[in-house]
Amino acid sequence: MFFKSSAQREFEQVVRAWSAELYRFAWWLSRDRFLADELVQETFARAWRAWDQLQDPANPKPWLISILRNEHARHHARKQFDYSDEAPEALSLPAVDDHATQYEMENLIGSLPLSLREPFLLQTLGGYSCAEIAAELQTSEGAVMVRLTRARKALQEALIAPASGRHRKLS
Amino acid sequence: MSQENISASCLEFRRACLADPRHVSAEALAHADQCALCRAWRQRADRAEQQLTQALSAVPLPEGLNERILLRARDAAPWYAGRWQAFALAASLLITCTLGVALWHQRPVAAGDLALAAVRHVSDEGLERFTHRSEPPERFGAVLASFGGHLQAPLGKISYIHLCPVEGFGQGWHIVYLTPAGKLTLLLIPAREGAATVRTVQVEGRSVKVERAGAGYYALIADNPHTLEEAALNLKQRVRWGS
Repeated sequence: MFFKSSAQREFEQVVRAWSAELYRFAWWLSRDRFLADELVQETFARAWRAWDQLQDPANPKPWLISILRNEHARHHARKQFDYSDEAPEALSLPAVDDHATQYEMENLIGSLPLSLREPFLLQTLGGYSCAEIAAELQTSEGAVMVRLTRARKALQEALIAPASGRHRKLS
Repeated sequence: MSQENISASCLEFRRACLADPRHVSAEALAHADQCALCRAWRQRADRAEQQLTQALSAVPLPEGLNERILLRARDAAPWYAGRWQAFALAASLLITCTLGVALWHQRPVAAGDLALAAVRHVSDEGLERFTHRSEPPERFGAVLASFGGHLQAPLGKISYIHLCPVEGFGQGWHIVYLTPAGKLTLLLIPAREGAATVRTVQVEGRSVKVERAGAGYYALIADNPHTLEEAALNLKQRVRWGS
């Protein structure tokens, strides 16, 4: 009780500082605004229940993102996603032109399989290094670099190619 | 992308850019300085990356998200909830032991001496700056309970609670609270026995009432006799002391 007010103040500051980033991360994971909203709320509720376990109050983002990833996995009724370091056999992304609309971009990024999309989001939205992504996904740094390379290659090819309606294959 | 005649160095540079475009090594960048194909490739890649980054950040935020998060968290059991009971138990044991030891060594006291010591302690502490603070009412209830008192209704806004050494009388609870009539100080000082006479005295410009209660004495201190009488009546009505 004595500590409640300072912990609550700290918690509220963290909510205001990181909710937007977490929401966008959740949105790109789920591509569902209602689910993203729910995931972020539950993430912070769990964080508050375990507030004394926050090890780095100056940088709570990695902790929050871990909770959110677990929540997302729980939503899919699995403890962890089934990651494979093998490349997708034939990744097919719709080609869009240089002036793609937000909707087209959403479809393009959303069409990446989760095993490529998640490290890409952690890096571009979360600002994680390859080593940090590897730690978060419990895999090797080399495997993360391969996934990121494949994700960007597929996205860039779809963006750079003229929009002819055909699909690019990631080889 | 067009078919290009590219070397192993080109492939290495492009892989590095694709894996982490924000942290490409100086060695890899040096390759682009010498390779026109890779420079052009990098420009296209940067443009695509910029489009992707813009798209990622363009997701609109739902209105009232922070409010919903805070409301949900408020309903969730706070992190300290499970520990409060253990903390309260440990605190009660500590308080009981501390007061027990003090009580054991305490000699019988005279009410006049106690009133003087209480006023001097309050003057020495100089707690004016703490009056804006607020202590949880349940903490005050727990302190009173450890001294043999039962709080039946709030006395006022509790702004300070501390276990202090009171010169000549061992450890005592120092409590400051605010009522519409003014600021009051309550000292709970353990003692085995002593003068049972209720005394109201003026000491160094303050009004003090000393009375036997619970595990020892309380000294109630106010700035004037009127506030003191009102507060003493309030205390009598709202706190029930065990024998």
